[in-house]
Amino acid sequence: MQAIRVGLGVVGWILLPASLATVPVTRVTAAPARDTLVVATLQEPDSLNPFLGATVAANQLFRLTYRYLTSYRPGDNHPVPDLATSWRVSPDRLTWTFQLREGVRWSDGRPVTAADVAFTYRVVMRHPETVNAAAAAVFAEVSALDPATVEIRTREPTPTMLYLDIPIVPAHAWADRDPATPVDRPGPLTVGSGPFRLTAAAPGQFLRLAADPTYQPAPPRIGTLVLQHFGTSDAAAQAVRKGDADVVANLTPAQYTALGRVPGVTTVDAAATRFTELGANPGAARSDGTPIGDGHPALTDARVRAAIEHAIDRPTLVARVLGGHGEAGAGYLPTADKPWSWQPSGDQLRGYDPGRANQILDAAGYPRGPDGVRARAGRRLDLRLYVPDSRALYQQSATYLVSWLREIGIAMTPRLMSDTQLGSRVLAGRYDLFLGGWVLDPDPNFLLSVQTCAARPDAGGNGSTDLFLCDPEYDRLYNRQARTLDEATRAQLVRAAQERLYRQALPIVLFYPAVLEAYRSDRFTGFVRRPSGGSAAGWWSYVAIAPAAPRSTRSASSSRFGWTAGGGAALAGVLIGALVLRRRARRDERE
Amino acid sequence: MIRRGLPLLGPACVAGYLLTAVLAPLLIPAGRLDPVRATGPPLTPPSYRFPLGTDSAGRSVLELTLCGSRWSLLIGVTATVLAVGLGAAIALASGHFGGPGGAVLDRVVEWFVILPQLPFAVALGGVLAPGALPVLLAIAVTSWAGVARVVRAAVLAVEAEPYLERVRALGAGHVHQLRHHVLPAVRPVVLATASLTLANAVLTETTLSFLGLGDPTRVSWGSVLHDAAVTGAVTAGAWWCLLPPGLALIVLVLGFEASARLIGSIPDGRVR
Amino acid sequence: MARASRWVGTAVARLLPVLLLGFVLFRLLPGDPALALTRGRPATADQLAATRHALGLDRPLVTQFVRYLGAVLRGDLGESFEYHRPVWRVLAGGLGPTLLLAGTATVFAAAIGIATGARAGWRPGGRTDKLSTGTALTLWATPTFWLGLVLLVALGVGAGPLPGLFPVAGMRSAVPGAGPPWPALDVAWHLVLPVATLTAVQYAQYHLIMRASLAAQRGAPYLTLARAKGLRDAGVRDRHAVPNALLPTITVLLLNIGVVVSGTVAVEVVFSWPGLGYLAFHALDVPDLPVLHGAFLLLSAGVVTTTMVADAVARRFDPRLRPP
Repeated sequence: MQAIRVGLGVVGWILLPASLATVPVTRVTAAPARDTLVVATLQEPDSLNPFLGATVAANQLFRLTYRYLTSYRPGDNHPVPDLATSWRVSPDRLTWTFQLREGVRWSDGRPVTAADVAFTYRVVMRHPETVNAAAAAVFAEVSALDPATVEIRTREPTPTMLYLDIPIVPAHAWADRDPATPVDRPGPLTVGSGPFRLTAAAPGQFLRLAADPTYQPAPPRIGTLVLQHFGTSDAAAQAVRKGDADVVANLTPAQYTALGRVPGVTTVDAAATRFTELGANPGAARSDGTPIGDGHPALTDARVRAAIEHAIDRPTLVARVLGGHGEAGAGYLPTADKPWSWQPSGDQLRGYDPGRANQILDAAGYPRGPDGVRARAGRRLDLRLYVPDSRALYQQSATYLVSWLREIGIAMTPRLMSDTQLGSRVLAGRYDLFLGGWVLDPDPNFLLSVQTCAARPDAGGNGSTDLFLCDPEYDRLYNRQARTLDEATRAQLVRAAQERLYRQALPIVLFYPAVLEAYRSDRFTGFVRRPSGGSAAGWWSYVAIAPAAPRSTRSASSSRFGWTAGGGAALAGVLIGALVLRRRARRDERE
Repeated sequence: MIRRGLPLLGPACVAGYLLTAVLAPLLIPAGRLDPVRATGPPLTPPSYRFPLGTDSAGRSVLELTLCGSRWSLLIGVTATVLAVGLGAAIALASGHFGGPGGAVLDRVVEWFVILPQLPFAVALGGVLAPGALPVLLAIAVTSWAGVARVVRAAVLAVEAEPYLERVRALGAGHVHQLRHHVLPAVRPVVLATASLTLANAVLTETTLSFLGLGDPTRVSWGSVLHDAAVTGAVTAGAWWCLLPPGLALIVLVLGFEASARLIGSIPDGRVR
Repeated sequence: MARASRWVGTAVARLLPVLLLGFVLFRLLPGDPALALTRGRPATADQLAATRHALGLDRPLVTQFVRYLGAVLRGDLGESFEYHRPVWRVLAGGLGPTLLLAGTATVFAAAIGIATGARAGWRPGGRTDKLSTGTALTLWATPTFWLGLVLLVALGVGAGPLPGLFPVAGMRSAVPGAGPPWPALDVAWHLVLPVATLTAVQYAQYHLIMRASLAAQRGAPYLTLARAKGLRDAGVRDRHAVPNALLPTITVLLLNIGVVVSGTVAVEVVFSWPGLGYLAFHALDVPDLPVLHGAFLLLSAGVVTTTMVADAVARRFDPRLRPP
């Protein structure tokens, strides 16, 4: 039949441009290597340039392809040697001297020297727009004393010198380049000295890394690492379930339970890496004190904020929103973040007590109106709640919060927006309440800094403040801990600072959500959790895992294709055969 | 008797849905769909207590599907009224009066006809906040021109009728012509077009809600599917969250299309 | 020559409203672009003023629109907020996959629709007609994304007894050797489910047109002649009636490209197919307005261009449409 002929011709016609249109990034190999790890990711690095990439995905990539002066011991996040094998600090705590590892080479073959380290840090110092500039803000001078020794002088003592998240780049590649150069492909600007090398990049699809067999102290035990991007978490979870991918993180409770039932897949409930907060507007102002924004005046009163906290049933949130995967919050840093965490004692804790919340609001002078909503001086307690759309748990939590606050006479209107939009609004002070969260660093300094008076925006509107908090006592505690090198003393100061935060009911920490992950333990062994009881899906595992004993290989995928193609071809053959026979029977009908 | 009644299946279907949408709040009190008050265990398959199973918050999928039609239909009807009102008005103007003004209107209609619906909706969603407004705007702006084109063809057909010339010769004004002759003649086409536009509007609203561009505080079929996708119901194999809203939508759209065929014939069969 | 310049004139006239809409949506509505551009990096009030001047935001609206036109026609769509790369580079990667998906699905939909519509129209009201037209209409009423999800779960992931035969996402297997051995075949394998979804919801258009044309032609005299010559019924249909009905079908195909584009966006999101719709959808997260703007322009301009080509083709090849 003519249409079928047309169809068949068209099929062939389509396959031709399809093969021409595809850039052959994949080489033709016989069978997939057992030592290729496929990580399903939901976020792409926003740039392959280590001075620009700011996303978590970018950070993970750089930890795999670059060396840093120091790295972290998975068990407790303690600093361990990476490019620097040893270090010492001067008695006045202002001069640090690092001895570098011998025999390290860049992926293009040239040797790594102290000049590269000095160059990298100088670039960061001179360019405040680079993503890691804040880490080097306290540096005064960096010099290479000899090819294997680096000296860094700081303006004040800093406890974060061993927690620098600045990837070391080759001076010979970056010498005359603008640090803000966009990079999206492997090339001279992606040369690094990490355990893996970037070999291929298809934006929006995947990044492929090859292991460096000469990496010291121990080369990776897998040969290839693929970071494959998926548009939705469901697609990523299904890929792991089918075996098309090996690792996935940030699962929802439903996906976690479903994957837990799949043989060969191990699920991980990783605690202690983040917290979720309800932020209020305590009276936003710039760092010079000028008020900005349009926050509801009632929220400047700490009693109102305390009442809101009493209206929230945190255990229910953990059970219903997190599916039980997490811990009810209160203190700023999660309980598992030792030694820094602080939690309010029994009496201090403002738990779920709507009666108490009502009492506080009545006493603070907010009588209920005819529709049940409280008001004072003609202004209703009608608050805007801004909710980021990046994770389902924010939206789900918002629904509960709206309902609970209605019961104590506060009307709340939730509004969904992107993370960036929410960030801009908060920074402009144009908000009442918002939901947000932070991922922990090994060192608490940054998270503490965002609650200082100085973090508030300047005249140009730039700042890193989380909630416009400005408490002189908190600032005093923060500054002291920033200069204290003794960990025990420092921990005490950090805990005292958190108590100051809790006194002011700012932020209201809702819970510490667990990160839910899954990996194919039937294909790879040796996953490491960082810190202990924490996440397994990260660079600290990928440099340590090895292929498991070969029981099931990825050839399942290609054999699936083989069967489908074979079946399809057989079916097509039968159809064509039948057609040909029919036509032969009708040959005598040609006009 | 049954066979003669078969063509009425379409409108009967639509009437059934409308009735459900109107009655739903009486059968299912508003609070029941509040996830805070949900009593069921999350993501359980159909059972005696929950005939269509539960979603990730523990709400009954049956109740969600019944109530979800309200918002979808509300948005759909509003968008359709806007689109058909604007489209029919412009079609009457350009078809009846003609002239240079009519030619300009025709150009405008041609411009809007080829505006692709989903990219425009996504663009609106990026510029305006997700909610009812971008969905309404997207549907109305991309549908009205299709309506205008079809109605205009019908108006032109009527205008060419000889009896209309006679009416004009007798001194009838434009208002009289439109009200007593043109409008009644094109009414079936307008109604049929409205029915098809409504079908498309509900489909689009569901798609946009699924993509996260709709109002997140409203329960609609699209939002049920969006929740299912976002909370991982698909991976968990919770087919009971996926099938009912989609099947309900298919039956409704088929009902609208059957009704449209019943009301009047459309020259080339499509409005989109 | 005159015809070519008239064609160019029509092209510009048709594209102008798309560009105007893009300008209104993305330059006027979102507020201060200078703030958005320097987002994430410290900038003083002077720097912001300078950026505004460089963007021409202090000029009258008409001037801004003209500058905007110039920039777009030059291919300068700005820089992506998220990737810090020129927008055209971000989108260029998505153009090929979208064309591949939309093109393949349209061709298959037309082929299947023509075949089933011809059979249905030959005997209207018969059992074949009722069955095939009913199926086509039901699939036409199905939301594209939903059908995609169902196929994904049934044939991609595997539900119950059904094995998960096809890939769950993407255009290529990231791991060499994980799928078919040749790149073209790998892409084709990933293309099966998305194309199946898009084809299923679309083919009803062609089915209905073909059916109507054939039903109208059934009693035509030239067909009586063919029957008199001794051709079997199917031969009469396929050799004579169908070719005559093909041209309006092809024209409708190209004129309805807007529907195809919308469907493509939905399918790309469900299957993580890295095309323009997928890029636009993920640009919503930030929101990456320059990328959204670029994707909107590209998709709309694509629809406009295809429609004009369809018009020209129809006029050229269908003698009934040529001016007397």
